[in-house]
Amino acid sequence: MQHDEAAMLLRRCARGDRTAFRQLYDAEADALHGVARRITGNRALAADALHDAMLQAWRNAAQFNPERGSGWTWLVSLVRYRAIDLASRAGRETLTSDPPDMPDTQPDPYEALAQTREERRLRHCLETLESRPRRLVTLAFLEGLTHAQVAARTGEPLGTVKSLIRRTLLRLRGCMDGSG
Amino acid sequence: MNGDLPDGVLPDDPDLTAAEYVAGLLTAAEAREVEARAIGDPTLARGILDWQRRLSGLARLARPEPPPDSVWQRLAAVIDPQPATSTPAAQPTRRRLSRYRRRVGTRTPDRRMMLAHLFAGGMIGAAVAFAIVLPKMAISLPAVASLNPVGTPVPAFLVMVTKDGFATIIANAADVQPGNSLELWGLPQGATTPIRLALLPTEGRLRIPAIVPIGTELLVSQEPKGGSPTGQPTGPVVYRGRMVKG
Repeated sequence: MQHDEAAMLLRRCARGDRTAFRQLYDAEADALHGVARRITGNRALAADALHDAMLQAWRNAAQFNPERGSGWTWLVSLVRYRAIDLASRAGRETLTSDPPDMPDTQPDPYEALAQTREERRLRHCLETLESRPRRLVTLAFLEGLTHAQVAARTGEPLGTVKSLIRRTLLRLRGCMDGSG
Repeated sequence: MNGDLPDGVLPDDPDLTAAEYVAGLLTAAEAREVEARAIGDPTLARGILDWQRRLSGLARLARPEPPPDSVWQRLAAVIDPQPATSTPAAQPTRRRLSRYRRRVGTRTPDRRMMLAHLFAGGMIGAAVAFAIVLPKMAISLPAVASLNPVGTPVPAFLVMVTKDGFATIIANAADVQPGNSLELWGLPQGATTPIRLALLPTEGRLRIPAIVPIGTELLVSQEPKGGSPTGQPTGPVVYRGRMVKG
C-alpha cells in the first residue's frame, strides 16, 4: 500500500500532536478548501466548511481507521458533508457558478487522479465510461448536486438523469471492484 | 423513488442508496433519513464507507484554492486557546449566565464520576464517516448546561447546544493553574472512555460542532498546557455539569 501522509498525520493528531495537525492543515487545506468552494460556490461558506471539517478531524482523529480508507478519503468525506449541509441551508441553487462541464474541458481532466492506486483505478474506470454519464456523475459529486439539480442544470428529464446516474454508479462499482 | 425510471432499468439495489448519499445526490431530508438508518444498519454504513473510498478521488478534480488565514486562526484558537487579555464581553456573559442560571438552575455536583451519553465529533453524517457504532437514541435539542467548580454552585461555563449541530461555550472567569489548560470532556452513557471536546478559554466564547444530548454530563479537567498529552484526561476534574432541556 502506498504511503499515506495524511493517515500518518491523523494518527499523530489522535495522540494530541498539534504540530502534526498544523502539518496536516498545510498539506491538505488548499485541496479541501477547493472541494468546499466548488460545492458551496461561496467563499465564506467554504471557509466555514473547511474550519468545521478540520476541527472534527482533530477532535476525532482517534476514530480514523486506515483500514476503511485513506486519510484523504476521510478528510474529503468530512468537508463534503459539511459543505453540502451549509450549501443546502443557504440554498445552493443560487450559489454555484462554475460551468457544469469543467472537468471535461481540460486536455486531460483526470490527470489529477494519480496519487493512489485507488485514484488511478478510478481514472481508468471513468475513462471506460461514455462522456455524458461520466460528466453527470462528476458534476454531481463535485458540486454535491441532487438528482433534481442535475436535471435542472442539464435540462433533461429527472427520470432520465436519475436512471443514467444510477447505471453509471453501478458500472463504476463493477469496474472499481474489479468485475467490470 | 424509482417510479419515474424506465421499467427494468435498475434493480432495487440498497447499495445505490449509499452511492447516492455519498455522491451528494439525495435531498437533505433523504440524506438525514439515510444517516438515521445507517446508525442501525451496518450493511448500509459499510456501503457508505465503500463508496466514499471509491469516489473520494473525484474530489481531486476540484481546483485547490488557499483558504483565508482566518480559518487557521479560528482552529488554533480552539485547539490551543490563549487566555483573554481583555474582557469586553464579560458583562454580557454574566448577564447570560444569570439568565440561564434562572432557567436551568444550579446543580449540586454529584460526588461520583457519573458521565452521560454524548455524540462527540458532531454531526451524525460525520459519525457515519467515522463508522463508529452509535447507540440508537432520540436527541432532543436545544440543550444547555452550566458547569460549576466541583463543590460549589457558581457556574464558570455555560454550554448551549442548538439544532444546527453546534455547541456554544461561554466562559466566565474560570480558574486555571499557571502553565495548565482546561479541557472539556464527555462520555456516552455507559461508556468508560471520555471523549475530548475542546480546550477551553478562561473567558469569552467558543463555538464548536458538536451534538451533546440532554442528560449528558460534561467535565472540565486541568491538563498540561496545550491539553492532555494522551487523548484522555490526566488531571483533576475542576468543573462539571449536565445537559438539560434548553
